[in-house]
Amino acid sequence: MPPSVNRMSGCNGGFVHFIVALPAEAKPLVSHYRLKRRPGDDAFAIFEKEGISLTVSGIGKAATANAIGYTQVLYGKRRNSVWLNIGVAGHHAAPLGSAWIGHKITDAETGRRWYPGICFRTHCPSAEIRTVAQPETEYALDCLYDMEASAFAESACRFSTGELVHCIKVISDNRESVIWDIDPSRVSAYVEGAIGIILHTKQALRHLAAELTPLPEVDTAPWTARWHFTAQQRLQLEKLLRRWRVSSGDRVLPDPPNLERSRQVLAWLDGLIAALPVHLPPAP
Amino acid sequence: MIDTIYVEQSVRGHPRVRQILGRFPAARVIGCERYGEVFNPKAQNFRLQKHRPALILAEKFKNFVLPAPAGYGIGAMRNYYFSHLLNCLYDCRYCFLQGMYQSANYLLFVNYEDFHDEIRRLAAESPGEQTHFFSGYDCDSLALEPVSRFAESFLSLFRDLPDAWIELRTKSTQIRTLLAMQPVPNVVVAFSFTPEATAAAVEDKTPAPAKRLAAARRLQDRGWSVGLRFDPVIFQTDWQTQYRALFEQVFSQLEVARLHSVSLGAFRLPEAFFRRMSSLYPEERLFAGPLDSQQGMVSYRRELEQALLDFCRTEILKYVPGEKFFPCRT
Repeated sequence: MPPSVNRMSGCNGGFVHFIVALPAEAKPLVSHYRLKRRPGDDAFAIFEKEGISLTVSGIGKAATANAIGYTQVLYGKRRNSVWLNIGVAGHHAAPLGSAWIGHKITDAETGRRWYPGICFRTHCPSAEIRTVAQPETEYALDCLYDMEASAFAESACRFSTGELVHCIKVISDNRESVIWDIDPSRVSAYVEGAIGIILHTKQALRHLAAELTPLPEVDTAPWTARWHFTAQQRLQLEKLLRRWRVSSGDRVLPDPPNLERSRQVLAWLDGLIAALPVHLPPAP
Repeated sequence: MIDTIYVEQSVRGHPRVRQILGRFPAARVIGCERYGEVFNPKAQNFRLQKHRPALILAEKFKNFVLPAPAGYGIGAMRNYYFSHLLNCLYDCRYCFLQGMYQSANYLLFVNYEDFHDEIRRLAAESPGEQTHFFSGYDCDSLALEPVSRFAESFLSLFRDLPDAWIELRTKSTQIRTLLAMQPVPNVVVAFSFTPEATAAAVEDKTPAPAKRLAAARRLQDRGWSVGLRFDPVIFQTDWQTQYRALFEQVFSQLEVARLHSVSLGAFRLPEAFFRRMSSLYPEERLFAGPLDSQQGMVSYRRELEQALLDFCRTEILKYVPGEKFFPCRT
């Protein structure tokens, strides 16, 4: 049997993490995706099923940042997962229940700004979100007001690329309907009303994230079991095995001949790759 | 085509910005303080942004025109380049921009007049001597023309600077602006070519070489100086047949005597750019090819690179006199 090239990496590029502040915001998502509460003693209420997690962070920037860090570690420190912050926000005039995606996030306290890259066709309008420390009742600027988005953007962008980190906010209060009138059932109803938009966004982002799924790692174990490679040679071996996989279209390697030294093995692999015809396939 | 436009605070009222925004009434327009807030953050992915690049409208404050790298030129001693636009509409897998920038968004500096001033100043430094300015280093010079009106603005400048030449480097067929004006003698419209099969594989979103050739022919018929750029030369099994066919096709359809220049260049990238590009596209066969790293640059293995360049040079010189041929020596 020739040594194999592939080994399952166990990495899934399309994992989706929802972060919400309130249980009432979580309820429609838990119900729609049929998520199950994680058993055990977690620092946050976390619901999950295969490929999706939902963390209820609590209100405010610190709670959000902590929830994201906790979730990232809990789910195996995956790179380039999708992170979605779903919640309610205020706006001076936008209709109650309307859903918006954030195209600019400003931390009102520090002035720091983030610009989430929107690389897909959205199903809702976009707006700036200003994250404030206290509930906003003046709505002085033409933007959405929330209490988590800036911390969400800052923290999630440590673990994923900005194009996969987005906030969807549903209007719960405006000048006609003040924030103090909100109750949990209305919050749930607002989020429920935006499920279609959330679903579309999640799918679009998952599709993008799949492009970043790394190729499975190459398996050097059968080679290192048979020959002794220095650390430098191991890197060369990995590189050659990756080149073979890409250049050959993932063909199975032929049996290595009887070679004594690792240097000869590397040269044999290099020669094998050099002998492959080079055809660049048309772009998809 | 463009559904997000970022506008720097300082250029919000600029007439060129107003004109561009007028072309995209449905775009989301987002204000920013400085373009770097959008263009430079680390947590960005060039590959994902290529799906829907945004346009950033900004102002440049310094380094409008820079000396061209040594060995880069088409006959003049004084060579400069400038970048009114960073990034490209097209998606060529070999392009160094993927390795250079965090962002695939198009960054357009709208203060063209500041570039004009610097070009005028540099041209005036050595009257009577040719100075060449290259505009397609960090972008395709013509691909975004309907939006940027770059050629429209800059060619009027060069019409008044007879000793200054500008090269418009392109794979585009956006030649309407040029066809609508009288040819400017000190402008070279330089079309880049690779064989059809290579273009189909690694030059995504570009017009097919046959269409570029037709555009070059139209310009030549209208009296414009046309250049040809076989750069980079890309290896595939059968490369000799492919390149021979390309040269036959190109030189049979253009009037060789009226060509301004023909240049040839190897596939070469700084190692750091190559690493970034191959990690963006780990499945890309171009990057798994017979490449080698020498002194911080990645290129085809020396003997292969030499064979590619020797063959192409010999073939090109069957059609073109030596004085019009400029192998790139960078």
